[in-house]
Amino acid sequence: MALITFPLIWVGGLVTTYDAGMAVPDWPGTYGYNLFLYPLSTWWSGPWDLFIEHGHRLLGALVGVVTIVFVIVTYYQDDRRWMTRLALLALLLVILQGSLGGIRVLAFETQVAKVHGCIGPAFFASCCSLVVLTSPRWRSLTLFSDTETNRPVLAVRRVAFITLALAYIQLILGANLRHFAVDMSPAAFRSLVIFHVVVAFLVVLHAFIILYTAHRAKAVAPWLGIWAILIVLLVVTQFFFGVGTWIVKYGWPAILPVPLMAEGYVPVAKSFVQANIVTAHVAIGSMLLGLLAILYALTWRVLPESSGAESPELV
Amino acid sequence: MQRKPLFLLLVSLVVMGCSRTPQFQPNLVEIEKQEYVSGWQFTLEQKQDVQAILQFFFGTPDDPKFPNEYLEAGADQTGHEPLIDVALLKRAAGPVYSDEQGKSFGFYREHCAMCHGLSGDGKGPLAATLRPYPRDFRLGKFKYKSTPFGDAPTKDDLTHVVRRGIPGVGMPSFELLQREEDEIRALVQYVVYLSIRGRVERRLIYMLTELDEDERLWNVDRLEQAESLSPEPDDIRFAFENFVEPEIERFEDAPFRSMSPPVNPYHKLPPVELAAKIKHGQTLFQSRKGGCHLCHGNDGSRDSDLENYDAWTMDWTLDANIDINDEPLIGRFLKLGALPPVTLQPRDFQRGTVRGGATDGELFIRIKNGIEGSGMPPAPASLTDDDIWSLVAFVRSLADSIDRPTASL
Repeated sequence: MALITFPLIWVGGLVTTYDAGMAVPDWPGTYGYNLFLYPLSTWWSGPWDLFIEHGHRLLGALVGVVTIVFVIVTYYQDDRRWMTRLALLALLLVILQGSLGGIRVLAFETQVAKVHGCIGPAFFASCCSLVVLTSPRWRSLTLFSDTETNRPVLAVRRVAFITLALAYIQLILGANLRHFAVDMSPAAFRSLVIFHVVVAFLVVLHAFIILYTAHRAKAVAPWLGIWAILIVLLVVTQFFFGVGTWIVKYGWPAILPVPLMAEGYVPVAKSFVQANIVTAHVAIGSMLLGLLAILYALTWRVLPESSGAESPELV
Repeated sequence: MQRKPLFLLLVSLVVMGCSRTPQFQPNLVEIEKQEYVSGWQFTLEQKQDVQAILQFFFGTPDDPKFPNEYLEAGADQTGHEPLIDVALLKRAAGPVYSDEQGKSFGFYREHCAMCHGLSGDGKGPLAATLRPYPRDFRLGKFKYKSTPFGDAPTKDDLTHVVRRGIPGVGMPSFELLQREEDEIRALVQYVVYLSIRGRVERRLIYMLTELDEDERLWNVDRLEQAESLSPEPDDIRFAFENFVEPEIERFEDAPFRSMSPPVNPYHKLPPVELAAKIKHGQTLFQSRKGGCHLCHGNDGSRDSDLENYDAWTMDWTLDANIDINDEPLIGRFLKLGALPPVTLQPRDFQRGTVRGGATDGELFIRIKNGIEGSGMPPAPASLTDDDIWSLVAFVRSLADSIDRPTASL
């Protein structure tokens, strides 16, 4: 589920980047055809925006089908009833997400696209946590209990939760910056930008705090370290992609001194570089959410108390 | 089955309040300015008349109109295409979508409205984050054009800016839109449309200052019946001839007053003669005859203490005898949507970038015609074309990179 949801989010980002949201005016069909029966040749060799929008829908359908299969398999194979409930929650999320996509098209409403862009990453994050929760290796570890020895892991969990919340707030702010109403006031948009920048710094700060707390917890949960490192690397990458997104879309930020090399810079609308930097920024945001969800789930297990236990590779 | 009512509730919560047909915004700053200058308080009905007339001639953001049918000389008689092709206008207007063949619609909202605003007022969502502010088309002033100071730009001028972008200000290049040939043409026509509409609105608002309190600009009831009457009622003809037609003609005349970038006759001077040309240019630059140093500094590095504002700011402040330092008064305009005044930044030539085109011919036109709205005046009449070429040579000498192609990604 996670492996096919991430490309789905990437393609969804491309839909917005190329303003292809209304490339197909009907839903759930495509130009009167059943979604799965739209002629392959027309789709493959048709206009680019039709290609990515219809492709996005096909990928979304695939994710939906796989989620249904996951619910069924979980019900019959997993003896943890709460896992079945979690699986159903994931299914509800993907149904909601698909419905929002349809409403966006049928109502011709770009503001619904904003909500659609927030639910998708939430679903992806839930898929990532499910990967951990269904991992046999993870299940073989000791369930976390609040002891003095395990206290550092609790610290990681708390920071991970805060960072996850901050990252999701940041994603919502980003969705608002990407799907703003054309008659939004300049002051409101500027406030959004300021908040987005402030929260970005907070997320970066918290990523480094995660790294610190994960290091302190390595005796009881050594696997947290590598995930913390990945999160820091991704957060820093995302930060620079965010700056890059602004530059390739709107030029050098007006609040910063202009270096000589930026004086002559002209953003090129719909260029390959612009499209991919902007879309990557969207996708990396979702990936970050996924990694934080994984880290959070991992903090619910610790090494067995017997000494000499090898730390398993998790996930 | 219990999911269905929940689903419908969710749908209604999401959709409720979302749908809102975009409308052109009245020029509240201009209304406030004219009320301040005239001492009159316009009535609500008078202000509504302005919007009614605009809607009659120009339609709405989703369904634009252009009064081609009221123009006396059409394409057949002059041999020139109409200023505005309404079919292209409609493609540029409205929401963004495309058809199964990939034909796109809604170009203006897709590419321009985020900065220039739905009404072309320069107050799109991004406006407050950009410096300088995005162009307000409603004044009808454009910086980089081939026509003299005070004239409308040609459509070719606007096309050139749309294709190339403007370095350093966030105006992108839309060169890649040439994949679909009509897209840039449609965008340019829509900009012309917004500019004409904006200027007509200003004329109508000014007209309110000459009305008594109980006078209406237009009998709106008759207006609503106008389209069913033949010939057109006098009101419509009067409004068109006095408010609309002059603005259309202003743009129609532009190509006849346009100047092509000239070829530099001193392009391949030997070094000694080129040095003399540069020296002459420097003398003009730093003297009262040229006056360039007053804004750009003696060495072209913008070392000046001038506190000056662009035309779009001055229009609602200094030109109306409104003191920019009068915070309560300025605050009234800011509340109505005016953007905070920002002082002009004359070009620092030593940084090697010019915004209005870097060829010799374009530099020549910038100096000769000035850059309208920016504070850069036309060259004094005492400067000959030779003098201007000397200035071009001097400006080029200030930074080797002025003739380097602008960076883009």
